[in-house]
Amino acid sequence: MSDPIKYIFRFLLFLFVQALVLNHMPPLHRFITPYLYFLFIIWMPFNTGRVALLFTGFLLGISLDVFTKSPGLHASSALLVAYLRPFLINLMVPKDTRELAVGSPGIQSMGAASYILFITLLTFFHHGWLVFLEWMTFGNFIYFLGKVFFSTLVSLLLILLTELLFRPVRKAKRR
Amino acid sequence: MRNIFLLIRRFAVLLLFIGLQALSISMLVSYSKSHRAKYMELAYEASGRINKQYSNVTRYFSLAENNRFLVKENERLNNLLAQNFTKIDTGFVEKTVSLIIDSNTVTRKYLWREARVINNSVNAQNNYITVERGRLQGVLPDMAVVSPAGIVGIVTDVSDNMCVVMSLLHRKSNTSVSHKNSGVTGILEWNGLNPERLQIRGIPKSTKLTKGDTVVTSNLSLNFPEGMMVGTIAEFFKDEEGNNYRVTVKPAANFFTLEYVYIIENLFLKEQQELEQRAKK
Repeated sequence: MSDPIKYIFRFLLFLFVQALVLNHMPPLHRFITPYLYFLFIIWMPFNTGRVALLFTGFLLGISLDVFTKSPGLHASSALLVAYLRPFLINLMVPKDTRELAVGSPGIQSMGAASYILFITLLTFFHHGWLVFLEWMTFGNFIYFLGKVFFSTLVSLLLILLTELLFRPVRKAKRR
Repeated sequence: MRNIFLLIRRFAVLLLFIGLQALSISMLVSYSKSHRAKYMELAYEASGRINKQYSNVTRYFSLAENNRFLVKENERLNNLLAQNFTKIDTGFVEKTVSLIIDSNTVTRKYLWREARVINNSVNAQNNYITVERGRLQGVLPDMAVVSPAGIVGIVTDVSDNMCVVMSLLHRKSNTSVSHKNSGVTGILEWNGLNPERLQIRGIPKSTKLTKGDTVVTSNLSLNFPEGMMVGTIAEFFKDEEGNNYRVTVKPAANFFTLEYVYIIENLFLKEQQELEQRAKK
């Protein structure tokens, strides 16, 4: 499958899984809402332009907002992920990997430890900003922290599961 | 001049980020202020179609539950039928009916329409329900939405074939309700924490409350007919400052499994609003 078609399918898949499955999960606890959709932005190739990344993030967020009827909420959070991603990649990924045309962030290209750190940071920023916007009118700080913490934890678990299911780590081929 | 262009080029990505961020936050703020946005109408129509397909699949899983509700409601309605009542005392003369209302000129005040829920949320701060009835079917904003078990919310946004309902689980929702035993009215709200608990404010401490008391819609509500089931009192305690109780209510409607609802139109709504407007001037 050619790349653009693959990405369009992936976009729709993440959008529908988030809007139709994860948003309808019977709440385990009022702190927990799992989010997975922004993994699409994280999985974009290394060589994606920053402007293109921002627009993709905005489009993904606003499409999800149409389903949740909160225009701007997820768009804003996905934008933040798209904006921060290149900075973290610059910090964590060696330059020669970054410039490969085919690579995208993953355990294989970054190594397990730094990839998990990368995902954790972005998930945390995403949830922090999302919950901050959602609770702007609300005063309870413990509540805010609790929701960010537990939602991040559950989302990370989901992300790692997705990672293991769809992008299993293969032994690197020796050339 | 050249330097300014250089500066803009250098910070293009940052500027774009700030611009898009400002756009989304302004959308968010303007939407949560009014709950209504013209630009979202088309988008709702599109997402509504997808949600409809999806709920076509999922509704099979709750058929049994819905049948139970329908049977229950049929039972209730059958009990209201005239042939269930008989006059034992033949000397009894029913005066009130013919004196107060001439049955030839009874006017309909509320019109009920059944509708299907195609999207629903409970775990956000502001929860909305999408219902498959729209402007073409006569639904307008401010109509009341009830489920067989209890009241659900108020229509806020309408497109051609769908409408968006602000659920009782919404931080801006407020409905006039009354304590059934005493008739004292209060305002029903949600504090955004637990979807199984709603709050009532404005019930004075002099009222006699018991756990499990029924709360119904009040006669002061513009949207809801009087006496619709809202829920039962879960707990109440006296506020230290102020004159009122703090009452928590367990809603009668199950927001987790909404499937079929009724949209109720108050046919006198416009007349009442206009009259009250005129009186204020």
